[in-house]
Amino acid sequence: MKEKMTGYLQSIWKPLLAVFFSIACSWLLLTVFGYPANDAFVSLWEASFKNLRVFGNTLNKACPLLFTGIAVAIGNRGSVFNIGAEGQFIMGCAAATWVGITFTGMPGPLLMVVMVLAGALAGAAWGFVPGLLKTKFSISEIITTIMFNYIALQLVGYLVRNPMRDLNQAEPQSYTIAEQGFMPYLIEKTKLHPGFVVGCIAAVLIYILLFKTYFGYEVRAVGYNSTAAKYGGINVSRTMISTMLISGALAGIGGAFEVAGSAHYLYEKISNGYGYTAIAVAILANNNPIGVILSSLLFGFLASGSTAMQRNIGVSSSFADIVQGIIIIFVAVAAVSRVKKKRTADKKPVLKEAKQ
Amino acid sequence: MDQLSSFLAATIRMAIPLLIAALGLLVSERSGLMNIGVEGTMLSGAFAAFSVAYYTNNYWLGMLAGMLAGCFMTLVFAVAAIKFRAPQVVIGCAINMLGSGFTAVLFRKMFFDAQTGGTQVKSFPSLQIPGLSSVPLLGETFFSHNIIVYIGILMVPAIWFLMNRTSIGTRIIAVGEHPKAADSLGINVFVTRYAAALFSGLLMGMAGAYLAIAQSNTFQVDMTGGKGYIAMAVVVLGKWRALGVLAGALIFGGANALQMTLQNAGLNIPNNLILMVPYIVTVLAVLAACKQKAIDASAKGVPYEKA
Repeated sequence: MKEKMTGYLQSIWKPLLAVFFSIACSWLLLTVFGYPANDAFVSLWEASFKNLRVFGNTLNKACPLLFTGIAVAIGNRGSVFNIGAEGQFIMGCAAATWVGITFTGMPGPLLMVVMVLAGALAGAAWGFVPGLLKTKFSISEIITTIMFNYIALQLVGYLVRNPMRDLNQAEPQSYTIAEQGFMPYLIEKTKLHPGFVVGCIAAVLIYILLFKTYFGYEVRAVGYNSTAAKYGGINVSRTMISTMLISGALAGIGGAFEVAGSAHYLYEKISNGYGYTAIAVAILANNNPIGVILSSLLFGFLASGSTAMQRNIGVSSSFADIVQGIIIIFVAVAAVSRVKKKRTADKKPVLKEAKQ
Repeated sequence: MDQLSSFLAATIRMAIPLLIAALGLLVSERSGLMNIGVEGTMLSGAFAAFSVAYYTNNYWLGMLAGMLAGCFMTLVFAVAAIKFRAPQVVIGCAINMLGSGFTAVLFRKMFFDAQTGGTQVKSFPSLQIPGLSSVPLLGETFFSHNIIVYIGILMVPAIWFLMNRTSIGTRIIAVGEHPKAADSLGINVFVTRYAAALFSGLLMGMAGAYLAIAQSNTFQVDMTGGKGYIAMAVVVLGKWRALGVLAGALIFGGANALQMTLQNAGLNIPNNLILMVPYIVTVLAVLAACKQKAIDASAKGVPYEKA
């Protein structure tokens, strides 16, 4: 019991320490670049927590990160490194928009459900192809998922310029989805839509799936050592493809909620790099779906804050990318140092036996 | 005829950054370091080259700065991956974010206020090789490029020689195939991997610098547009051999040139669909080549721990 507690504590304080170091580094960097660092952090804070309205907006930004973060986390657990959450998210947006502007006669709740299902399907399809290429032709999913991200991006660019283009708007964007399909806001005057709540439920479900079911055991076994899993009688290809399907579907659902809950139409930059940030989200949470809820909040806070920083003190909102990169490096290094200590502790008794 | 030669010339021009970056990545991967941070490393090289060329008005100094910036990014990668044994794919992702973030923030800080239009620098001029450059077809295709193109092409035999005919190359391959065995023979695994990483950084930075101050004369935020990732595909396609990488880079250069030709041809195809071509070609080409035998390092991505 005591050991379990220290394990939990370790899994919390190490990421926290890494985040703390990253904040210190960011402060230093801002100062070196010649920006007022204190003001930057004040505007970061005010943009996220000043009142209920901006806090709702932070949760709104966290929602796509929550879904894509769980998507990347389950992939990492099953050793399919899904950098394609970006493309799967975008395809989810596109499919949901298509449903929203095509089936305008449907009653609201049904339309919302169909939009989310369409998003899940499109995301899963976009994840399935790299999964298939990995298992059948052993082509690295890293290359294919990234290529699929770019293809998805251009596809959306095509959709919003040609077949879906709303000619009443100056910028290329799609028609607005049917009004009964707009998801209600949970708190008045904020942009908080049900997506975040559904995302939290999804996180718990995926946690149960990963750690309490046989399928989850298979996924983790393949992730830990696919050769051993194969000899243990697990169908590695099928497990990897299933992992990729679930991962893609989750990212696609995130896209559907973004359209139905927040944007209400499709445009080229709808994703804003959520799928890439999701990698940082998942790693900070040590690929634990429940932890992703917390880390998506942190990065949602960073996303809404970085826009405010650009507005108030003029530092490019890409500063968020730097902070993400630093956090990933610190967390990855800290996580490995934990593994190493454990291993040396395990080894000792084995050595003793060998001597006897 | 004119269109053909300009298509071929564009193929070579577009292939060079992929070629140089992929040659660097080849050395890194054969030593066992799977660096997916090529994109971010190239971006850093592009930005450093652009800003130094802008302030010194000298493109050679710009090129040097780009290479050093690339070197610095791979140093960060190498320290995390070799010394701290952090997962390489994860660190590579972080490098991409750092490259994209740093260049965007610094570009906005240093050049955004100066001019609203794109700030331009003096870039490498194209050399018209006397006599040869006026030969029909061949002249424009092969003999009218800037000096970096020729350096890039010369790098192919140089890397081949390094990997296949020198003891350094053998050491790199040894630590990539079986670090423990290499270590027992007295090869320092860590030093070899650090050297391979830094060398690859020089080349990736050079590839980025080429984009900013040889192929164009300006910097744009995220101007690599996935070329770093395509370079990763080029290495796979080239089966981790220098000559193969040249062939792979030319295929992708061709896809890019085709995309440009289609755009200029004024056909009634939506632009976004044409812009997809290089990425679709990447997937198809890797798929077509996947059955052939490759010589990828066995210990790739596995951190080495001295017993």
